[in-house]
Amino acid sequence: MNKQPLEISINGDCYSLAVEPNRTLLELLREDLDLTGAKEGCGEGVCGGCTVLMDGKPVRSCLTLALEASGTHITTVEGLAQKGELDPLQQSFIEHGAVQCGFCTSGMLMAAKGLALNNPHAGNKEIRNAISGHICRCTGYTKIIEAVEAVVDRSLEKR
Amino acid sequence: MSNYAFIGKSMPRVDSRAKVTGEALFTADLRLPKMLTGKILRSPYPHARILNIDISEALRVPGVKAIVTGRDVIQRKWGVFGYTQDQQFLPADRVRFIGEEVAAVAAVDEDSAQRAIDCIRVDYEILEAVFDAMESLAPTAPLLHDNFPHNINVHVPINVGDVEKGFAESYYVREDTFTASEDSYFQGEPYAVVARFDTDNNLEIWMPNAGPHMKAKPLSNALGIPLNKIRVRKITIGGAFGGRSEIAPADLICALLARKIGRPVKIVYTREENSIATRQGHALITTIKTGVRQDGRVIARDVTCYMDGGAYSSTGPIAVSVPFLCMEQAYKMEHVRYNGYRIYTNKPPRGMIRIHGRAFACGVDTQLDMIGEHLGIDPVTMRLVNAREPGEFTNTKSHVASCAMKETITKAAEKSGWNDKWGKLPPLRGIGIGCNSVQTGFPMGIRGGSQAIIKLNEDGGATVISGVVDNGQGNDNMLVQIAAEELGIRTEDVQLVTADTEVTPSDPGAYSQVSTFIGGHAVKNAAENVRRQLFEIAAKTLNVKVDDLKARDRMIYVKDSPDTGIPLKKVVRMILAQGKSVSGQGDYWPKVDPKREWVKNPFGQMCGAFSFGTTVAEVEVDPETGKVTVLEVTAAQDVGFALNPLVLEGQFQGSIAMGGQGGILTEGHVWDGGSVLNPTQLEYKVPLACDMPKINTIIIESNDPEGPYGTKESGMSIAMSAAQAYAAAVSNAIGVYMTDFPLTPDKILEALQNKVESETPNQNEDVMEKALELIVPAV
Amino acid sequence: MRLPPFAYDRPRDLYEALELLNSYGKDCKVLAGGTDLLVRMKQGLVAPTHLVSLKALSELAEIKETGDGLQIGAAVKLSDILAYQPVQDHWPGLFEAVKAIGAPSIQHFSGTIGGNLCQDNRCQFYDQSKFFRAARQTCNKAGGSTCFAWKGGSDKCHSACQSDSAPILIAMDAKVVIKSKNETRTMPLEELYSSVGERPLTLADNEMLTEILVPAPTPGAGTAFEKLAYRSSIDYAMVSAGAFVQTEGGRTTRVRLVIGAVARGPLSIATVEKTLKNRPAGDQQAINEVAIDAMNTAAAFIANNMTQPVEYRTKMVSVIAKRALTRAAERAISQKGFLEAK
Ligand SMILES: Cc1cc2nc3c(=O)[nH]c(=O)nc-3n(C[C@H](O)[C@H](O)[C@H](O)COP(=O)(O)OP(=O)(O)OC[C@H]3O[C@@H](n4cnc5c(N)ncnc54)[C@H](O)[C@@H]3O)c2cc1C
Ligand code: FES
Ligand code: FES
Repeated sequence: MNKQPLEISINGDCYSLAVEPNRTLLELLREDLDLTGAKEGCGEGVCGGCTVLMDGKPVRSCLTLALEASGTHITTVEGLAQKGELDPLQQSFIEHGAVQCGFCTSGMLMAAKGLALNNPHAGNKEIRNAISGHICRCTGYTKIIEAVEAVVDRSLEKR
Repeated sequence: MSNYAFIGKSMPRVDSRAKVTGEALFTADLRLPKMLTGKILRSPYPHARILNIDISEALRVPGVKAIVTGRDVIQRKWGVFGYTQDQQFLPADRVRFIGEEVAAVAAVDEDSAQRAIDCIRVDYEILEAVFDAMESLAPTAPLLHDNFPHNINVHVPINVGDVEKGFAESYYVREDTFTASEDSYFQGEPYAVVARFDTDNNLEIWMPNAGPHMKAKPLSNALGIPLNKIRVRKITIGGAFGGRSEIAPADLICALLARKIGRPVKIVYTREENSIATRQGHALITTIKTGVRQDGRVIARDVTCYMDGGAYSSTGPIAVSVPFLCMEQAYKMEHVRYNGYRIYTNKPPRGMIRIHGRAFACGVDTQLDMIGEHLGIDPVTMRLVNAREPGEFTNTKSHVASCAMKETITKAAEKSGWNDKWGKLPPLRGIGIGCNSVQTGFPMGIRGGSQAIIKLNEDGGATVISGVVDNGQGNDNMLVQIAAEELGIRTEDVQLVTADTEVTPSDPGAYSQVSTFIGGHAVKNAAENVRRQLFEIAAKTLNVKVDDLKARDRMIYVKDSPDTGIPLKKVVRMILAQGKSVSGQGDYWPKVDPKREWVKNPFGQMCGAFSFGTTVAEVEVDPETGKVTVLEVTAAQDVGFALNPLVLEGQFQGSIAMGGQGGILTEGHVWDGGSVLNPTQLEYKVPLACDMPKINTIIIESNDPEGPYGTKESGMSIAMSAAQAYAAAVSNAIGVYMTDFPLTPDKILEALQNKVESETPNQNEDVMEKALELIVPAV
Repeated sequence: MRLPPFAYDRPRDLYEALELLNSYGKDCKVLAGGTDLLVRMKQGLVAPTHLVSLKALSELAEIKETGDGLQIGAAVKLSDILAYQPVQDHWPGLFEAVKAIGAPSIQHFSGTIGGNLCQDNRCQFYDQSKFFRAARQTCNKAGGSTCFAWKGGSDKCHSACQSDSAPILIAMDAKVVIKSKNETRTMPLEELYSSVGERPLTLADNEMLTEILVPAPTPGAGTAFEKLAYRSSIDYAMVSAGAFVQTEGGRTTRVRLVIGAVARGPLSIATVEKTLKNRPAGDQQAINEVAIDAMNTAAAFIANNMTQPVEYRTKMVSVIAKRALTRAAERAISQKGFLEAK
């Protein structure tokens, strides 16, 4: 099938690419751009490992055509840290022991980031809801929730 | 104790930065030059003879580079044990489950590989299949393996004391049967393998594994090349939970493809393949007969367990034994008999999982509650009366050096408010307790010990070389903590070279909860060795005795005068200047009975230490839907010593999610013949964040005399006891002892309704309907 | 998991989109959020040669309150419905239903209401991989001639309509606007569903759903949506129910109950109106009666199309129906907005 042009911004870098219509955003990231932070844990929308931010909103990259992301800003886990400074969420995940095997981590972080961007005052219930579509087999979620809560708290303190 | 710099401290893990930035590479993330994509053709039949495989059309598919079938493998069956060799990877003659590997293709991309797979023609002669363990035992059932009569793969018989006599002496005896369907690991990461051969026929291979050395030897056998040519490389691993310990067919297939075409090959499993073609957990039928004294103390127990093992042995003898061992470790009994059978069926092979044998473990504890009710003894007392105590021997003659089982029970009960709740909760609320014990290590033959090497660099940094693997539980961090502590350097000064069979010495792997106890111990010993070398020079320089020295924060001090010291780096340089290296070796071999064997001689010291755990769960049941809401869970474990409380808590919490929340409430496979109907996380209900309860964790330290710093194992006995506690709590809430796991809402509702019906005199239908209405107003 | 090949169009306006649908015909599928369609394509259940993306059709992405009620473009994202204050205030049942769909990061920010209504039916023997299906006979829905979900087999497909938003929207008498290149028709939402498992929608190949019209809230009305699943997120419903109750002076004057996830289309329970009309709103005995009716009606349809047992799902229809009706009645009486009512 014929490739079609794709203009896309990923982690602040602009790309002009040509991709096949059946390429998913996840394949584009992982296979064409070597951004392997997003994981394919199921390929069917269930696990959450492939979650990225599209214009600040968490979406499943395994169920998004690369071409559908045309003209959008994509943020992957690789784009969370700014100039070597970890995002507060990343730092908090480390400090709270929210990372075990790490396979779910990038998806969790993106869901959490999406929440923090859209609802900086989110409480425990909203945090659970935001990550409810993300399966973690290692942590039992407690420390992930604590890690996100701590960042939300901090953003409150600053006010 | 508190004198440690890193040991016993909550510290974030060294591997987490790479994981939160997305830099950590898992197997599927690897990309090598000229790499091809591999795909596997699987049997659509549960049992069939392979008559012919025609690959001619597939070979013509553009982009296809290599195809392998049963003709490409050494005709030698694999088994974890000599007496369980029953599995030919890529069988040429016969397939025994839906999903078994039949052929594989390497091609330039996934689409071409899939097209070629679709073009392979296989002629099968369909054979009769059997899907149920009990049916499989029948004389008329098709035989899966010629040399295993009655489809019995393993029979573990254990008989200690005189059970019949024990029952005769008992005040009360009862027998109950407990069942559970198959459960699955659902590790975050689906299985994947990357393999490449160099021109000298050396294999480099990456895959999620629970011990690289346990992968390497069978690969060497299956490929017919020496062990030193097999290089299982370190890679980030997305979970194991008891899986991924032995060689998987995909490992060999990927290597065969890579060898055939001379290019690297990557195979990444779909979620479905991970569920149907890597080994998963057993279904169980367990009958437990227990006799007790009037005070609840168990005198005799007779257990018969049938495990549905699927088509091949895998870790069969271990799988059959472990549920029994956990029980005999946790609870005292005077007389005990066990007959454990693992039965072949035409389903994917099964193995050990974090809550392996849930029907067994939950059966033992549920029955204790049944007995307690009969005797008028509450569950906590029932457990205290029977709990293992330090210094005792298990029935199969393992000495239990350290044991704080009773403390886990009392602390968990206290924290959960047991006394205020037991028998006092409103209807449909329930509280339950479960206790278990897990072995730190299995008898592993020559792979039972671990060795480590440490070298110091001229700047005082250390490189630690160890076979220990990190599946996600934090083993890498554990090694760094130990090395930094012993050497007196900082954690950032420690570099790890681990889990790589080319360089790292042998290690038993993470499969049997021994990473700290054995692997960590070896690193500790190696570090002590290196430190001694440093101290000898430092002692001379400082004019003190070696024993007076102490290493901390990159300095070597005189113990009582912290101002007198010398930078560690300087000592290293002094040694190097003498033309010597600063490196050392250390090893650890657990004090187990080498003659102990799973089937032939299940007696003697099983492993170095045992962990003990108690969980209390409190639940609420919706009487109309049978749905369970878990309100609070309290878990207490005797871990020996807490190396890193932060990591431990995470292990406890994960164990509760997998063992209790998933393992008892929702998880189980549903079958249609030999087909798994729920191979993905959509229909196999692993727990989600929104459904998790509040969790309290209690760490109890019994300071094991053998464990490094007194450490044993973390989390496993919580997973098991959480399952038991959840089961007990649900039973308590609805007033019916539940015996078939998982306890999905449909089963709970049915139990509730049956209870109401049975409590209602049958002749009076009006009353019955009224009672039913109370439970399910709308029905 | 790979997607099969197809051609992709992103029309800039509705006219162009309808033009494309018209010329491609049955080989073409509308791509909204893709969270249903792309899974099916990966599993090899559908293989359209053309996908027509709704991404650029801003005219379908608008949600607004008009004098007649709520007008929701088919491509409005679920998250936009949830964020729309009037929905929270006046259509709590709709809010509950949309919130209950999957999980936020799966489809709330990419899935659309049109896609939710137009998603294909599901069955545990059909919504599986190619490999799974290749190991058995082809079923009715896949073009074969058997049904594994119906005891003893069937010449009909017994898949279930799993849309969470359909039951409540039908209960609220929502209408849909269907457009093709040459025609526009407006019809009650329930007529979108054919009750044919093999082809559950009544849309022609060249047609598209463009708008959903929800009647304005009337004083004394209440709505509620109830869903049963083993987990509180991700899962499709085992049983769901949408209820609308109109009261006057404390008595029920009009009521609708629609059961989801149990039949080939959303199942309207015809007898509710008869039983509940003129009874005091919230009359528990009457509601129980209706709930049993709903269960009996559903029992004829529930097939073994989910991993959860048929008997259990059947029983649960009464519970879920009762809860939806009760809550709708409560809201009708209290006349409180969603946030207070919760
Ligand atoms: C893990 C997972 C869990 C899920 N859980 C739920 C759940 O709990 N409840 C639920 O209801 N759904 C669930 N879904 C299904 C799906 O995500 C939602 O229904 C979603 O709302 C579909 O919207 P979409 O825009 O992504 O649809 P798409 O996938 O884009 O479209 C679905 C179908 O509708 C057609 N279509 C879309 N828009 C139009 C239109 N305007 N006119 C005509 N045809 C159109 C498409 O051609 C396609 O056939 C789940 C999906 C996944 C992957
Ligand atoms: S890979 Fe996309 S959700 Fe699992
Ligand atoms: S950390 Fe392993 S899956 Fe979440």
